[in-house]
Amino acid sequence: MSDTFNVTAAYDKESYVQGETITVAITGDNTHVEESIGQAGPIDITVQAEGSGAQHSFQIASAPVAITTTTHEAVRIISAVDTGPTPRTWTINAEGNQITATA
Amino acid sequence: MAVNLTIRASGGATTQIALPDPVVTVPPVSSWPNASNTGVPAGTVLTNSGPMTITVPNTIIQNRNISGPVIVKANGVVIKNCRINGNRNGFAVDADGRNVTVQDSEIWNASNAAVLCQNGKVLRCNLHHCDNGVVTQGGDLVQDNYIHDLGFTADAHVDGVSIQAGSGQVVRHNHIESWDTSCVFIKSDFTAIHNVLVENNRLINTPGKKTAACVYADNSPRKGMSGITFRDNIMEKGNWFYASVVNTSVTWINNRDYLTGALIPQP
Repeated sequence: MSDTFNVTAAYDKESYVQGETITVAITGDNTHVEESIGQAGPIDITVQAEGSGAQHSFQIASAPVAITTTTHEAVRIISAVDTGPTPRTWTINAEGNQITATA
Repeated sequence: MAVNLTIRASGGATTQIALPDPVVTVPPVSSWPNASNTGVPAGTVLTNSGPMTITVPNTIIQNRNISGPVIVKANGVVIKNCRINGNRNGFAVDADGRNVTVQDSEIWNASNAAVLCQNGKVLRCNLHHCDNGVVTQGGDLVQDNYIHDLGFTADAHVDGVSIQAGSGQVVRHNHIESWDTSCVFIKSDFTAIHNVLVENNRLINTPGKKTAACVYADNSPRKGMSGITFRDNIMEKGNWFYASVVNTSVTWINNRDYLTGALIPQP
């Protein structure tokens, strides 16, 4: 199993005047890969002789088969912790795709 | 890096992204807030109104001379260019739990405060003759206001800005003249209080009177208090202290005495 987040976060402006609302939005998703072992067989095979028409049956034993399932998952912000010199309180919107604070 | 985001995928996996601190610029300041650069802009024509209760979100009330109070029961309301006589024992603008914006207005005559708000903004207002200037409940920005001549009731407990609940308030570039208790009062009376920034204010005593302490950061109710920052303020010592800090610690940077300009030691 693996997760590859392809997520970017960016401010909506290059700079802010004190008192303005700062917005950070995220875009992207997570590629989640599940790998499991399946099984092929056993397989029953019957062969026939062309001349006499005689038949013979035999079985091929089962074999393990690797199965890879890839899913693109939606992502959301679950926390925003400000560790800067002037920590701001960031609010996460209902959709979980952006945060806002006051400059 | 200043902002650490934790991202969760719908399948439950998580990752983290760190963002640099945003670039914030300070607009040039011509002077401290005073009677000439706060309140209703000169030349504004006002229409008389009686008391009002606002229940429609995003309503804009402007250019009014209001014999209040103004009760706000909806989010996103903007009150600007108004003169509001609170006329009451209570709040002149009562936006209890609402994210009101009050700007470029003059407000007076209320026992509790000129403005009560949550996640609101109080900008360039002239607030006076109330027991408190602004009572904030969390997430508020109080900036560029002239708060002075406080006191409405005979036994007033006066604070310029009162923070007794909520977190994330910013008190910036206000001129506050106060007495009795404080210019900025932070006390965890009702909830824990975190991440309050008080910066670049002029916080002084009302002429002829004194605060007890210019600012408070008081966690004596022990509901929790952290991240309180006082920086770049001009302060006048109250009767006892510049700052009363109880059961917590504060970040204290470059705060200077109003009269001498001397650095005020960390309380």
